[in-house]
Amino acid sequence: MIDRQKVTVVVPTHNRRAAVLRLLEALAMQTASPATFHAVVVVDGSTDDTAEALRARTFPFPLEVVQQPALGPAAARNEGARRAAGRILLFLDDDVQPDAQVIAAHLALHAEAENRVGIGMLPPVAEGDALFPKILRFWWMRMQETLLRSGHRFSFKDLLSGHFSIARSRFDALGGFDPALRCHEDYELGFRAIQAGMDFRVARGTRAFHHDDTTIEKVFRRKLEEGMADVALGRRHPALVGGLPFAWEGHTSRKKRALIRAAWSASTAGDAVARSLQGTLPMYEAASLRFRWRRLLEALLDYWYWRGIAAVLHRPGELRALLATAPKAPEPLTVDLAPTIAAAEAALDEHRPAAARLRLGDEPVATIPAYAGYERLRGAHLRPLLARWCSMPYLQAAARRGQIPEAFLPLPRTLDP
Amino acid sequence: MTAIREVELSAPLTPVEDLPSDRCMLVFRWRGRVIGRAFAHTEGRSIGRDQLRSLVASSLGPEATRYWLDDHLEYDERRVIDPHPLTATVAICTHDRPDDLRRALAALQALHPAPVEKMVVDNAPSNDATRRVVEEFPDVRYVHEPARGLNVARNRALRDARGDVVAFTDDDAVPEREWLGGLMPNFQSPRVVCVTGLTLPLELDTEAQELFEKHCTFVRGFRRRVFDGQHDNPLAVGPVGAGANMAVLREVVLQLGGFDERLDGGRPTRSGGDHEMFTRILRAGNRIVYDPAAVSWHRHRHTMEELKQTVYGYGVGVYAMWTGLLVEARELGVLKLAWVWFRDSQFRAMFPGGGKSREARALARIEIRGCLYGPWAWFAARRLQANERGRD
Repeated sequence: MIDRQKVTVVVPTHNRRAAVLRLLEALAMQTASPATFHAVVVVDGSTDDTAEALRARTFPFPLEVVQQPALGPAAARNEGARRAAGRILLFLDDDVQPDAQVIAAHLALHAEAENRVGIGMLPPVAEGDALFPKILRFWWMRMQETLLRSGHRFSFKDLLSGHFSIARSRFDALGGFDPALRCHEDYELGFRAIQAGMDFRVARGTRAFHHDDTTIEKVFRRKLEEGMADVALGRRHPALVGGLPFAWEGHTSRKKRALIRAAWSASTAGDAVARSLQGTLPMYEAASLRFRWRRLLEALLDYWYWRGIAAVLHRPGELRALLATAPKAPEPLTVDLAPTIAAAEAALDEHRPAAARLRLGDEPVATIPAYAGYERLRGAHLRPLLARWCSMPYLQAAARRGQIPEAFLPLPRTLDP
Repeated sequence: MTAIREVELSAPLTPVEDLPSDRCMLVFRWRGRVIGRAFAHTEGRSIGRDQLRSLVASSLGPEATRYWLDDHLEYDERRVIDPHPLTATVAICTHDRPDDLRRALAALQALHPAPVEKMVVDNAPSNDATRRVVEEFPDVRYVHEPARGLNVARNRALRDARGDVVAFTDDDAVPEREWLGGLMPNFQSPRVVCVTGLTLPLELDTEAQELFEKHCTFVRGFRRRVFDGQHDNPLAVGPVGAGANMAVLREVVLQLGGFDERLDGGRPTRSGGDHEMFTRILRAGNRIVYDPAAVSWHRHRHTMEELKQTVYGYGVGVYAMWTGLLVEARELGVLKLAWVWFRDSQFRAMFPGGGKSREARALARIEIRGCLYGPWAWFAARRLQANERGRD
């Protein structure tokens, strides 16, 4: 009998027998006792005999293997959660390889409070010296690095289904994953968790290595799916519309707007051009033109994302109508930095406002906006924002109040980021 | 000569007096942190408050304001929520310079935080003077490396070190007390494999030292910078720093193949071993941080003859390293880089009218001579290594 206090590891898998075995072997090496957790592997329409291979093996922890027709990873995770005996759900994708602390780390995180989402680190393992695996590693690490910075303001995009944990009761209260989504279903759950006021925390001292075997072709297809999924997310949650990449269309370069128009009005020709440009990527790489290679790759990714948008929203007018559904920004809380920074931090922790208007005595500093899909402000967000995001207006206000030593005056016009 | 004086800006400014000459390099600190420097011509061998004030105003960049702000907010951009403990070995690779070495080892005694290990790699010594100096410091480990070459010695340090990080300093450098505290926190960010620091001149007593500081300075500015092959050209690593003040993640650098033993001091290529490693790190998709919080003071060569040798060696090293990249990694970008460097900088520096002094023009010509020999040096070094390996 499994202890009701403990962890259920939920792993959805589709045709990755070797990978899921690697994952289970990593679970067999945990520092936490095997009595503290069990695993549910949901085999989602696999045709590579994954279920048979798993049933033929024994592990030091209880393992349940569930088979379902191919319904997608969201449905598979919900099914796994439904069969969970543990109090905490730890979701791991089949292509990750957790270290030995993963169970202990997530247990510790949820032992402190119930209302938490445990965000797990997913360092990439993308072998190879070619430009594509390198940029893949770069994209992943850039995303992961921000999580580690103290004072990070979490958003719906920080919940990645590959490695996260949540109390089963909270998962059920949120209603689980939306099985209708085949892409960005984790972002969608992340948004609902943020809306419900759940506390996102990085699970410390553990990592699940992500063996990313994707290819350039798969990434392009994925971008198309992301465009389509983002429209679905925006339609479901008007409060999220402003936080999705398509909302920034008006702020992009002329070149990019041309590319967006092509995705909408000349998609047949656009696709042909995109495919032939894709064919020139290896030539750039062979000529060690790494920066041109990257610019072209990113333009192509943009193109396919917008093709995904255009596949659902047939005219630019429909996008404008979707953007118009975004709710009005909430009224910011006014916070005075003049007494002490610590007092301002305490005020943010007490009121948890969505947005804050910062003042230094009578001097206005800046307004931290309520970004769509971001957590409400905490005290810990304040210093990094003052130091980097609104450093110049803060310095100017401090200078007007005579707080800055003479050696640093007059202030420079700008600070490098 | 140029005198070197320090000015603490968090205290009221006081005049700088009793200068031994009419030239002075001022190093500005804010609560101990070096945040900028200025060169001053003085009248009457002193610098009054007004002149100091205008020197501060004209030489401190926007990054200095950043220091005040971060200090005021108690904010450190390197801080992460889940730091992993990393240990450091400090290694000095040396070849027949016992007197310099003694000063460097004395500086290591004061380091705070202290490393888990201090090591001297005695590279192809001609006598036992180095060993005897090391014996004066009981907590310093002595490693004898008979095969000649600075990069051979660096690899020996990597293989023998106990620390997760190996921090290299030169035998002619004097790291400050907080040196490791400046380097180590940067390794907490993912993919940071190497960290370099700020290297200031220990003395500017001779014309050769002044010229070196003016034309070949190790100072790479007072702003922390992160180099990433996705943004920065991995072939142009001059701005990253130099081997006299660098720390590397031991295991990762060994996995990358270690330092290229055909390059740098003691080999026909004379230099370039540190820069080639920077390039390899960036090409592999990793990052390097330049952090001016890690301060070290370097004694430049005294004589003009040594200076010329050094500058010639830099020219040889750069082109040798680029030759290697072109031949072995088919990095065609090298050709463009060499052309742009020549067109925008070297060509003009050689001739009058380019705004350079006579000495600087002479140095530029020496450097170009080095560049021209660089490719041959690389092939010679490759042949030499093949012969040595054949003999083993």
